[in-house]
Amino acid sequence: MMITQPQIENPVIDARHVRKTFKELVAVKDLSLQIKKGEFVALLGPNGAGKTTLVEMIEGIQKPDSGEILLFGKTWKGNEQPLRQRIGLSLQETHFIDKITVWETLDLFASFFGIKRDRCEEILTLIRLEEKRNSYTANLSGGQRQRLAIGVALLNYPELLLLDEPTTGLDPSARRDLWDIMMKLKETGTTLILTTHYMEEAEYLCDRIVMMNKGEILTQGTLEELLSASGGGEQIEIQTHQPVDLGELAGNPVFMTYHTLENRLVHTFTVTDTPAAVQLLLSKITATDNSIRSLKCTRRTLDDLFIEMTGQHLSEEA
Amino acid sequence: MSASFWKLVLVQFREFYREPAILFWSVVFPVAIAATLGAAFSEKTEIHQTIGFVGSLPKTGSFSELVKSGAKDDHGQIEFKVGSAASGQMILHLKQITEDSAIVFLKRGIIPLYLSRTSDSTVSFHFDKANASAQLAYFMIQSEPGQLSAEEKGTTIQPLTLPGTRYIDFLIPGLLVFGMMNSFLWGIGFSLIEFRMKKLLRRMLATPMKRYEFILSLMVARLLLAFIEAGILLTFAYFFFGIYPQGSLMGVILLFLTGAFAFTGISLLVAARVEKTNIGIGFINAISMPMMVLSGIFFSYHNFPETVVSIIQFLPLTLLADATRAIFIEGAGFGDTLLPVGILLTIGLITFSAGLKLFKWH
Repeated sequence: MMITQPQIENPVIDARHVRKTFKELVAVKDLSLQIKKGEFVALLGPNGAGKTTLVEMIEGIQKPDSGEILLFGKTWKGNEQPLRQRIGLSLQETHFIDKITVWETLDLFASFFGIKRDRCEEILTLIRLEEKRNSYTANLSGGQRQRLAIGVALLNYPELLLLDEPTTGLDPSARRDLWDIMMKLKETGTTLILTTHYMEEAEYLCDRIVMMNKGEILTQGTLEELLSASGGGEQIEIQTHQPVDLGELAGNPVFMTYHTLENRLVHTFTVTDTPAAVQLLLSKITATDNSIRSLKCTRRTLDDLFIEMTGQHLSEEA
Repeated sequence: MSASFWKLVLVQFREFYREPAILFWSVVFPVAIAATLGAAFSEKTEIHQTIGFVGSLPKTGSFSELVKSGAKDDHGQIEFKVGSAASGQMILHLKQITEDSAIVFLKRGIIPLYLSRTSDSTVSFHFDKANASAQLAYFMIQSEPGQLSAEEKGTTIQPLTLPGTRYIDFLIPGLLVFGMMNSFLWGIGFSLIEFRMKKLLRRMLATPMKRYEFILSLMVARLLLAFIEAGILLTFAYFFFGIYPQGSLMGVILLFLTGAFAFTGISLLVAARVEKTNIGIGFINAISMPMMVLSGIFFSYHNFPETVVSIIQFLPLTLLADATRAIFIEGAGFGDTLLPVGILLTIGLITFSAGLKLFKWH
């Protein structure tokens, strides 16, 4: 099921056989990944999948034990200053200096890049914190603080943006706000790597989803590719009033998988053609005195895919 | 009590002993402080005190009787006991010195008072009546059986109130450098730990910010604040107590700058690895509190045993306090500051480079 990516010419990120261990723990093992200019890539995986370690190696904060990472064709060694100028990033949960205002924070970080103040105004508008300009960072809400973190990451017009779980712990509307900011970046040709364990986030923002587990790439591709490669289709869950044996239907090519509980009241199918499948199920069930108690059709999700591949949920919250 | 009650108690205990910093702070530190202070002010009934004597000793009279009752100590000075077993005894070591050095010793807190001969049989006491240990020594001597009251015996008390011999003269230079030390240890050491804890250090390093500029900015900001703080304290001291540096002002500034450098180095070393501010507080206190007690900021460190004193003299705060005090009250010149400045620079260089080497930026 592994979807291999074709070789990319002049990739923005080129990680080759990267490996990183912390004492006994292998955080990233022999991982290779190429990302082209302008691509939005999500690293999706449960906690401990190695997403943060991979991102930190790309950021130049961690050094791989073996293998190498090239950014814009250059390694970190000897190129730190020029690379820092071209990269923007936000960490998991950023705190700023408590009694320093939003504006002062932007102004400080802009000075590190040698950027004029006009850019701070632009950023302030982009992250919609104009009204909070003179608030201490300690008094910002979680969503506002995270928007400021993204704003700081964008100050230097980064060609490559690395966001480590930018929306973890935020409520849905705050998450939406951040997504809107990132969608605006798409037009500027920025390359984005985002770690997340929210499937919707990866789906909404990213061109490519890289699913990671235990330090390895499990599979990657667009959402459509991932779901169809795993057989695609939708899921039907049907509950009947009387127990019924639907096993014989599973032979029909419309049904891909079939699972039923011991009481034979709850049945789960993955199907290629939902209307056809429902027709077949209805006629089979109503042929006797039995009737349908409930029927649920859902699209398969990456979480379903992940469970299928690893036996685990993607997100602990799921 | 329910099982959960005891579990709650246990949780408190676990939290306590699993945090090494707290363990140090609440168990080791008080014992260490008690041991050091105990060494200086132990409950032994005999307190040793050096007093000065200017000129030749009287041949007759009750004071000469008192001196004759004594013996020579290890340094060849006469030592004699005053007081009783019931009230506690004081062993006085008589240091024969010139009047000039008596004043210097008085200012440095080595002696609380000195005596001088007024006739063949009488002596006169010189001390600041606001100085408690001087008063104590005086009354202990006067309380000796056979000693009559000052008036009857013809002894006189010469009050000393000239600038430089008052307690406030001793205190101000000490407070000046003590404030500076705290300003640096907390302002740099604690800030760095907080920056690290909030991941701000990491965040800032992901920009082209230069590391040396960051460290330098902390140092310069602190230095400016420390100068302002010192300025306020000195203005107050000048208008209320008439205290100002009698010696080299350049010397004071040089000492201040090198002290700032040494304490920046120490702060950097303290903050090099610490991840959490609550542990950092313990570390910083563990450095500043002993120096506050030992370095002669609030009282002279000459009461400590000689072996301890030889170590205390080289603590950065002691070096700074002694040299600053010498300029303020003894009128020491620029040249006198060079030795302490040299030692402070060395301490600064060692701690600064060790701190940078060990420093965890991520």
